[in-house]
Amino acid sequence: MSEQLESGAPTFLDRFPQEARVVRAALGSSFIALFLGALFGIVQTLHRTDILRVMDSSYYYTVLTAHGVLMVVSFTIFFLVGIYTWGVVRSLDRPLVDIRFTWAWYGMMVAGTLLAVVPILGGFVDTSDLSADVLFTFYAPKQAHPLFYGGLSVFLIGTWMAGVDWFRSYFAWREDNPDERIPLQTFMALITMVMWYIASIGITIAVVGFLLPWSLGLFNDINALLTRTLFWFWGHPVVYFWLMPAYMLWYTVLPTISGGRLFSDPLGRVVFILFLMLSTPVGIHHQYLDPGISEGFKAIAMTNTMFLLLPSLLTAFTVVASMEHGARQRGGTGLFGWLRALPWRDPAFTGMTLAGLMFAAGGFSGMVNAGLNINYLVHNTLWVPGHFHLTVGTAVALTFMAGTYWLWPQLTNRELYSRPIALAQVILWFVGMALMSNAMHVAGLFGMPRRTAEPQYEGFDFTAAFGSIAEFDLQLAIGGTLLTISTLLFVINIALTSGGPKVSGLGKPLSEPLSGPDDSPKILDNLKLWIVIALVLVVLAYTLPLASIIERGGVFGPGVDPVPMVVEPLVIYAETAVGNTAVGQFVGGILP
Amino acid sequence: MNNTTQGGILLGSAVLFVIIWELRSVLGIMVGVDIHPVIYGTATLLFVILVAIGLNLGLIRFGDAAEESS
Repeated sequence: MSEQLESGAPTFLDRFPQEARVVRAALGSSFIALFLGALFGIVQTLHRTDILRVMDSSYYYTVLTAHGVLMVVSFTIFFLVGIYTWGVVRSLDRPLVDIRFTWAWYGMMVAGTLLAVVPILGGFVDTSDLSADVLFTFYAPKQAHPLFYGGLSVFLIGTWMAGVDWFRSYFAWREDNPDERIPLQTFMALITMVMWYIASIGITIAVVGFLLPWSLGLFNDINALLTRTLFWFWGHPVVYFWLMPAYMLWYTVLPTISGGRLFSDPLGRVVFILFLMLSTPVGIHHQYLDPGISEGFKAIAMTNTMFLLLPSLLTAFTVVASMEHGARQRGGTGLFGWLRALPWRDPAFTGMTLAGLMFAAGGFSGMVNAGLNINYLVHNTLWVPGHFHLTVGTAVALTFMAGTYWLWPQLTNRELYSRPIALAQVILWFVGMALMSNAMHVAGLFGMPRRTAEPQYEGFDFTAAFGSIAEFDLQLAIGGTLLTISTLLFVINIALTSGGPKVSGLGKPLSEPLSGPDDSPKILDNLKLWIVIALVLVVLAYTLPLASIIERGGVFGPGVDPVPMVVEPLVIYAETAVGNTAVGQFVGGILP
Repeated sequence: MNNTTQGGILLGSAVLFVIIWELRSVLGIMVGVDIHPVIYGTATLLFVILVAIGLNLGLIRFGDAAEESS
């Protein structure tokens, strides 16, 4: 038995058997979604690269929607609720208040997923009215069957209830521990959920107020720009909803696996507070090419987005410092020689580290996306999926898989079936994603569009600055194939682990931080303060753009009146609007 | 400390392959150098395999000099 398996400590399953069952169910659901999402992914990859076509191109959006929804809604969020349930229970060291409530939100999420997936799959049945070929970005004017929106709503309510569950546990703990600092993992889960509640305002209004009644036929016109803006109000913070559980693993598990301790608990709290404050008032950076939004509002969104780099850079510093501490504890020396002392044979460590490495590359391409002017170069090209396959597709997905190798034995009291296969799996993911993402980025720079089954339009060939388009298609397909094989290895390894013999002593306690919570000001734990600031920033960022969109296009549309593309759009806007509307008076009042 | 493991060699080879392969994109986009993908890919693989063999046989000792000087 290896050193990692000899702690002899009781596992999470030993200590909290009921909660472990819920965590297993949530993670299991996420792995099913990952498996199905990967199958749709490879079909899509081979189709658009024209390597292998098993369907008509008219089904491409059905496949793309299934891939997107299963991966970034079901896989990521089921994993989130599982890992946060583990983190809250473990760090508070007490069971959940009412396990029936816990199973209720899990049931809501499963029911919501099934309700949403049925109309997506209905798109494959020509004789069926069920259809939801609206992609993950399900704003108007594309319209889905009402069941799709209903399913997503039920799923969303389930996630809200999960947050309520963790807050209830926290309040119960607080009664018994009035003077204690909030344990880091619980702090991270609570901050994430506060951000989620704020972000959900946008998507709730979009779905309940517009998309669902529109799909039910209650009204015919819709302001597409308004639903887009409300979607991205939620659509950018959801990126951090995916990322923050990965951050929790990087902050609290990775240092221990490295053989050391977290460098700074207070820095971790600061990072999560920054995410809470900055992740929502930036959504308009997804709409740089929307003509109905003033350039001024887009510039504000760009500025806010650049501030978002700060918590990621803080994390890079903290996590690498923690890893170096661990390596030196394991005997590593020298300026770079300590790197050799890290546990590279451990798939959990290697997977999380490679995920962090890819996240750095994703951060750089994200800066290009966020830049108001250079975004025009890559907007709606294959560059964009290249970017988010590095972030959610690797930083998040690979960290989740690597974290599973560490946690799953503690949830099942069963040893991992094969560590070599697990190590090969995470490396295969890294290489596959590097090839696929590289091809996507480069092809995007050559103008290759995203979201199309036929990127080479008839009679039109893209010109490659080097190599050839066919070469990048092949590279993309090879990368996608490696990713599919990697997914299969992961799912099979976990399935075989679950069928293995039960053993005891697989518990792996987490190490204490070098700089603990007592080194930070107590104000960091003042959730009310950060909630108020986050809400104020959202109001400042969105009130004027939304008022402008509604004024120009109407609540129910359908008008999309482009804003003049001028140097001082706010001045022009004020000149035409002052005296007519409250918005105009306000804008006119603050301008010279 | 000289415990270069097979797991470490596998991982290092993967990272090395990715870095060298992506250098081709950098050369192509930034400098306009267009290297045939088959030639570049084959050379990359050969180089990575040779480095891996060298590490496995102990012919290449990554980090030793840094350790000795510390």
